Amino acid sequence: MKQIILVLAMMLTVPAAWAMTAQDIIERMEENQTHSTSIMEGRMVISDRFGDRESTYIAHTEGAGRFLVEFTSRYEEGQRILRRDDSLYLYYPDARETIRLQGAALRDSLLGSDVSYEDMTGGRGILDDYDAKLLGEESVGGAQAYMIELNAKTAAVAYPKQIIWVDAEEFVMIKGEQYARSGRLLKVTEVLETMDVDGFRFPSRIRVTDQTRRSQGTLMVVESAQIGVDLPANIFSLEELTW
Amino acid sequence: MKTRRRAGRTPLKVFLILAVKNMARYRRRTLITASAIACGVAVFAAVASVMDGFSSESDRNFIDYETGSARIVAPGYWEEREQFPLDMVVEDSSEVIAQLEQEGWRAAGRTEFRGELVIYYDPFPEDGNIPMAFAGVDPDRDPEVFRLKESIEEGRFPAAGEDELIIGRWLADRIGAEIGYGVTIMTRTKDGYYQIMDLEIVGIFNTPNPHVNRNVGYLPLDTADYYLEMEDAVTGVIIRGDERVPGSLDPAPIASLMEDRPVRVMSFSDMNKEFAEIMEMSEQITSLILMLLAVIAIVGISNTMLMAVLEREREIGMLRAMGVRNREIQWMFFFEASGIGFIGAGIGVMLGSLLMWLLVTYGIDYGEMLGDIDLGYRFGEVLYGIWSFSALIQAAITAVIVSGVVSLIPVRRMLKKQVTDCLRHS
Repeated sequence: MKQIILVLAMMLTVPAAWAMTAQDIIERMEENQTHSTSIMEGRMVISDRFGDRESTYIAHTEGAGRFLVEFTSRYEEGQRILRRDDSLYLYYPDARETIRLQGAALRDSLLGSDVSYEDMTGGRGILDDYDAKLLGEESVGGAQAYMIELNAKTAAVAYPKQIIWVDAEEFVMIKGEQYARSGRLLKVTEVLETMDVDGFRFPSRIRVTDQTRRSQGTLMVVESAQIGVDLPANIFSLEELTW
Repeated sequence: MKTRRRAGRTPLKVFLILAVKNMARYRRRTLITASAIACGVAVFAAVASVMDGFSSESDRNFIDYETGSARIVAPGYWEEREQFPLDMVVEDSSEVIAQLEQEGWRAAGRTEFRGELVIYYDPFPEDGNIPMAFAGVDPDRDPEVFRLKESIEEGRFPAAGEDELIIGRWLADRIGAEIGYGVTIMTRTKDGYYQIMDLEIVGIFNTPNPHVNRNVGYLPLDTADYYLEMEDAVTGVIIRGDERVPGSLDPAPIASLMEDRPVRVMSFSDMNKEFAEIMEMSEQITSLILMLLAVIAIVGISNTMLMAVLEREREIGMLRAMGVRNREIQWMFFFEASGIGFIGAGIGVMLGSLLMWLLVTYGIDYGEMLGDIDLGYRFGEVLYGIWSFSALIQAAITAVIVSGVVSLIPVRRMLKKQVTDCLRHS
């Protein structure tokens, strides 16, 4: 009798989500964070030993595969980054030149930040490239989160292993760690704030810290977001990129 | 008739003596023109010495520190080598090297890759990261092929199986590196995953090849193999021959040895093609300098001879009136001009030899001029010339012949005049 009561008590206290697999959690997170279309305005603060540098931008996105980021801050004004069909293009207004980033150039950092261009590539879902394993649940910054280990199953990704923490209630990634093949920690991504727009909750204040360079981190802030908006036709075309 | 003509002809020796006397008579003019020719010959010889020195040292530094005499690579690798692709490799490198060694070749595998050298404050003066090239080298075989080990200035060559690195003196001085300091290399595995290696600097080398000193770090081949997950593949197997002239090793026997493998055998000339093009351009520049010198000689000599001919118009008229043939007068001026050319060439050879000696002994120190600028050339801070006797002889002979030939132009014009007109000249 005592055992039956214990089992019932456990069933009542353990959240229903415990039954979820790592795959379910990632799918829900991706549903939450991937929008049909969106326009976001934000800023990126890069901190180093010389102080803080801020760049502002407007990003247009369509699904997980396409985006166009245009920088609006004084020093980078007019610079654009376009991702489409798994390719990344840069446009420099001063040179009036479009460059397709490939190979080693993808490893360069974006405006000297802790984010590489490569981090911006790969529009496929996490589960296409990684085997996911639920390691358990733990508290991160006061929020209960699922801890999931991702191990690369293809060579199409740069990080052979990642561990992500997904908010158990909101299904938003709240922390991520990226590892090198040797097991050394490469980068840490911390979600400091989230934003709710039209029922979608996604990270709005993220700090990425490159652990190998002992950097002070790059802060990425989404100031405003519109979801499900009509985007201009051909906005993700190469022709539009140079306009 | 034939006999009469022979009897009437003045021996050339007479005109030769006359030419020498004229040169002595117009000593100042002779010396000024000869000096101009001498400068031309000396400058040409010096330029040729430097260019030959540049070419010779570059070839030597390429072979001794970068290319070897021949190289086995995967098809397409060489064209993409600046991207350091790890997916275009020579598989089963141990077997390939064993096969080569069996045939008496000296060979070593190298895995060249790109990465970032990450350094941290304490022990280094500050944090930083430097994108650069790295190469995994076989500690036992590499010294048979390259002279990197001989260039170790401080510390030692990395040992097999150890997480060790050696870097160039130029780089070490700029980042404040010392033996025993730990560094991190951030790179990618063969499959493209991020990889981190923590290595200890165990040696600092100083080769005469500035490209290697500045841009390349070396670690043991098996360490690179492990971290990059190469599984005995290397980006190149390098072969060293005993050829004396760079590029003269015939790669055909190696190619026939490798015919069953999906690899390409490259000779030094294949690998050095781009540099050879630069050298070809340099040779064209040298030819241009020679041409300019020839122009200087032509203008100088023709000017001098024009003056001489005009000054001596009455003399020429008198000689013609006395029965000296036009051709004989032409010979006289030809000897005179060639004589000036000969004196100029002689002084030029002496001056050129002196310049060459200075270049061979002391060289030209480009260090301060270039500072930290990397022009991609493969010579050290001091560029030494080499003895280039062929250039000296070439310049001297050209000076004598050109001087003689161009003198004929004003003389021919003069000889078209009537004898009476020449005599009437005041």
